Amino acid sequence: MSEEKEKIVLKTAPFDNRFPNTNQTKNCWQNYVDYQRCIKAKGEDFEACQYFKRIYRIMCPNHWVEQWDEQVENGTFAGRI
Amino acid sequence: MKDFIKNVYCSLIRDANEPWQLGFQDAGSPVMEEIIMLHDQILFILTIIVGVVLWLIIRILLGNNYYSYYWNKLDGSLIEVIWTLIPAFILILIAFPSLRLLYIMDECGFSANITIKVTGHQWYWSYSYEDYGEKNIEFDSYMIPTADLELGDLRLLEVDNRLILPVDTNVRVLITAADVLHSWTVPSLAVKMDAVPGRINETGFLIKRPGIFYGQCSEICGANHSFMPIVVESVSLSKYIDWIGREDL
Ligand SMILES: [Cu+2]
Repeated sequence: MSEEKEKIVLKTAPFDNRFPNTNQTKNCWQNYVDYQRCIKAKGEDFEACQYFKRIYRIMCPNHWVEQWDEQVENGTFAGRI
Repeated sequence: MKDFIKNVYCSLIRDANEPWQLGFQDAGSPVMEEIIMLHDQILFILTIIVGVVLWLIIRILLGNNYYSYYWNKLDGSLIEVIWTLIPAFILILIAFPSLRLLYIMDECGFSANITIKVTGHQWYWSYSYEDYGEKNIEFDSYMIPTADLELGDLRLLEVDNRLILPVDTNVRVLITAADVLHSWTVPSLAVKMDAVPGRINETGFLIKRPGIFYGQCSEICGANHSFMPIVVESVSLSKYIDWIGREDL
């Protein structure tokens, strides 16, 4: 038992009315694109952008995020940011 | 003797398929209970129908009795109406509970407290938990080869890293694949969801008791398709939180 054990909150991405179906691909994509737009407009430290980041980290497969991050860096990302 | 006891104990605490099994595995989630109940209801109706029809056929074919009267009967409006309406009513009796269950299953991930991501690879599964801020838990789950099994382990079903989940908690499962089609399946929890490259499929369940639930990849995915089993271990919520806290990756 370590003293500095951080508190774990059982909370996850809420149900999103825009994506009520089994296919959640767009849910992941939309939140990723929203995050990129958000930090482009407001800067990386803007608090509200973190919401999108949390959702896409929960919804998107990690290997997709890695690929997209690379594409954003190289300017070859397919979405409009 | 000790080995025998261990073997029996291990097979009792595991929720897996068994040789020559004809029925369902024990339910581990409320949806699976409902499915078993619907199956039993339909089979009950089916047994009555088969029994009555067989009885009528035999009585008519055997001749010299009251029923052989029907050999000479060419038409009858009343009987036509009766044997149209009764089957229609029976079909309604089956269709509505079935539809109800279908819609319940569709809403499984809606009120989730935990999200896990499942990715199918050739030929193993990888799991990741992303709910807990910067703490990101991610691991691969490979089958244990037969040569490395311990006493009481199940051949072709045991994995090195089990998916740990708490009981009585709504779990959302997001399933995708990295290479070809796979299918993430756990019969006791009533989940079978295709893993499709480039697409995220959502499903969910609520595990109602601690246990170890086994499943296998259910979409033919290449040479080692039979060797990428799925093991879900359900534990109490406090143990789950302990495990999340301990896991440092
Ligand atoms: Cu597979």
